[in-house]
Amino acid sequence: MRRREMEKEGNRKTCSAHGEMSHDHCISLVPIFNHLTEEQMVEISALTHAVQFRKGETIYRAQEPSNALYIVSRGKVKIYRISDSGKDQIQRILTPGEFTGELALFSDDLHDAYAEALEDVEICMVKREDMSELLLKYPTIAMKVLSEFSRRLEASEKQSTRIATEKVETRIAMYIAETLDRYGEEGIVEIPMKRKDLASHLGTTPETISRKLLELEEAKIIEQLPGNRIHVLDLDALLLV
Amino acid sequence: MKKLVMQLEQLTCPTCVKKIETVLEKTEGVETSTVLFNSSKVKISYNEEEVTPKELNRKIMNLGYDVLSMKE
Repeated sequence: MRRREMEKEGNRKTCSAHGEMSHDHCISLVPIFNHLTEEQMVEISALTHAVQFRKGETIYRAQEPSNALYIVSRGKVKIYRISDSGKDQIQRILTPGEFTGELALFSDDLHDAYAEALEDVEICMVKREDMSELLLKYPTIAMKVLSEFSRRLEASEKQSTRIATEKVETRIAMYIAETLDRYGEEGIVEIPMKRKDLASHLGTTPETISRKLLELEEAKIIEQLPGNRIHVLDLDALLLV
Repeated sequence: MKKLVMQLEQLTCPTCVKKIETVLEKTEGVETSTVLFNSSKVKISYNEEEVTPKELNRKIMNLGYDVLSMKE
């Protein structure tokens, strides 16, 4: 256990400088792999390769062939679609440990969305053939992948129910409350996307978001801080919006 | 449609979230429910003609979670 912690520490330091180490880092980080034994992780490490992207770079485009699983090990990635009328809608934001490209796991397919690096990003890629083999060899990985899928499906169903049934202020309030609960500290949360992206995610416009945030601020429910951060003053009131 | 927020005792397993949401959403009169794991809060939108806060409270108690407080 002690040794493992030390190794982890080592990985963190050398991760960007040292290719070899960052593989381990990326495998041990991801929920779909991190329950495996050290030996098994080493085996999987051999199958992954790390790729870096700068902030703003496109990782893949819709209609490009999709043949690998992309696991984020550092930074944030946005997955979005573009409608025929040219509007883009954010599907989700991937944080370290989350993955995309899962369609590739089950079919020889084309990407159905775009992926763009929101920050400097490091991604571990596992080729489709390798991933299929791993899924067969370690059923627990398959279980983890399935549970991640069901979590995602549920989030997406919830999101579409909300857009259809809830008022825009409720959508904004719930988004803040949930993001705070997941990533916030001491009542303060950084919104992980730009105003424009948040608007498309919540099915509204940036102007409406600004106006509604101001209303929440006037009601002493939240306080807007510099750097796209929000201080939640009254979480119960926020949930009741 | 009315809304309420319940404060539960500290939730310890992420799967509890799913359990609570599923039970609530199967309850007649409940439109949506959201559980915040780290803050241990439940938000419920419900139709007051079909279900009362007291009944919702009991549902959660029956699952084995203490409801510490409730706001409407």
